[in-house]
Amino acid sequence: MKKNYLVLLIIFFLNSCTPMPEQVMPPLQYNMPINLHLNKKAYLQWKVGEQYSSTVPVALSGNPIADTIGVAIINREYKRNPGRFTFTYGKPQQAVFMTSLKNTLEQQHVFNTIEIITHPHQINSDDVLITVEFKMTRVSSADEKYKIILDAELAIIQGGKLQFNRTYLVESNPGRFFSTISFKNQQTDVSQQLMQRIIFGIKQWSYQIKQR
Amino acid sequence: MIHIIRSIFVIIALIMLTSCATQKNVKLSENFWNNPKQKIALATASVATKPQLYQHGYQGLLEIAISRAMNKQLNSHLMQTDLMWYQKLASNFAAKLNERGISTKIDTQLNVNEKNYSQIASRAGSDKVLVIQLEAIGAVRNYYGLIPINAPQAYCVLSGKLINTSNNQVLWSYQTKVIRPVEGKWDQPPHYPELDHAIKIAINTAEHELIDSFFSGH
Repeated sequence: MKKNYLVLLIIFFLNSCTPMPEQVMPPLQYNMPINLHLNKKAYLQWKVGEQYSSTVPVALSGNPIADTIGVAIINREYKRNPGRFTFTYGKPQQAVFMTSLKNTLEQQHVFNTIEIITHPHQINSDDVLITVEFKMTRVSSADEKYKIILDAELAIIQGGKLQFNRTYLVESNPGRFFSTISFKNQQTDVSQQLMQRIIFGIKQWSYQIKQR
Repeated sequence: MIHIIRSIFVIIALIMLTSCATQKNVKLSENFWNNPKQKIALATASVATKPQLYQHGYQGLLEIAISRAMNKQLNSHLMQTDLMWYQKLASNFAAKLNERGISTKIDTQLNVNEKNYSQIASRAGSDKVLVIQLEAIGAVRNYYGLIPINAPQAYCVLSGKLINTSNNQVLWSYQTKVIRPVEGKWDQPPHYPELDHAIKIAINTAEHELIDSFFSGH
């Protein structure tokens, strides 16, 4: 009897350590000074690419009858509410990222004005178009602790010409064996890395145009 | 009491061994890009396993054998997966390195078990070797005994590492494991068009991810 309680207790603790898929990170904070001002109007374009998600694996006990019933129940639950079992870095997370990037560039007065667009139709030749394309976002499997990988491309266009182009691949740190880093914290970690790289890219581009 | 202490030690040892088994990616240092005069030997290791359906999950030997027999048609189709892209991958890396002013030499004599990277480096007159390996390709499906839990998904595991042969230091290492669900009906023998399409996308993603990891920010 005591053994059964111990097993249930262990299962309870393991389940409480399992990250929750449906959480979305809060807005990102960028506290370092950018020290850059360009007397231009900028547009930030967001492009969505391939998204690879990961599902929660089915926990099996080794008892064939119980497991067959369990698998059937879980498969039905997967179909009814896939969001509860699917880890992804999708549009909600990307929207938070793009808004945070825009707010950071705005608050630090990097450009005169900046706005997010989905189609670059209203761009004048002197305006700057910054495109961030999430070429691929991937959440790895449970054995890799749902590590998030972002493969994004930064393109800066002015006067209809591509002036700067870089690809950035960043991955979250899911921690060691007993670490309990939440999926939301992993989203923040990986997004902050990407934001730093993109801001560094904008700085590199501004340095290049000053050199010309 | 001794039994309990012994059990605790065994559990701790198992946990430690498990944590050692996970491969960690190594980011390429910015210093690497400050030396454009360097030369790199590139090598593609032969494919670790033939294209196939990888069966994951709870299966005994008999169940593996029976389900393999049931998947014979799918496996023989997967065996024909085109791997020409893999032969060209080293050339893609070389072209991108050359664009950045780094000279390269592709080694075609690499054996899959050749771990003596200094030989590859010396053949190319270099001290750095970039090795690419296709670890798994095909489809993956989860099983519980003989019961498949899900539909087969496209599967591609690709890895790469850059080794400094003068001190055997790993300068960069990356492994990508792409699993892509099939859009539409997967079970369309004999040509499995939807599954093939998913495999092509998985390969493309894995290839780009590996390249972008190496050249990230450059």
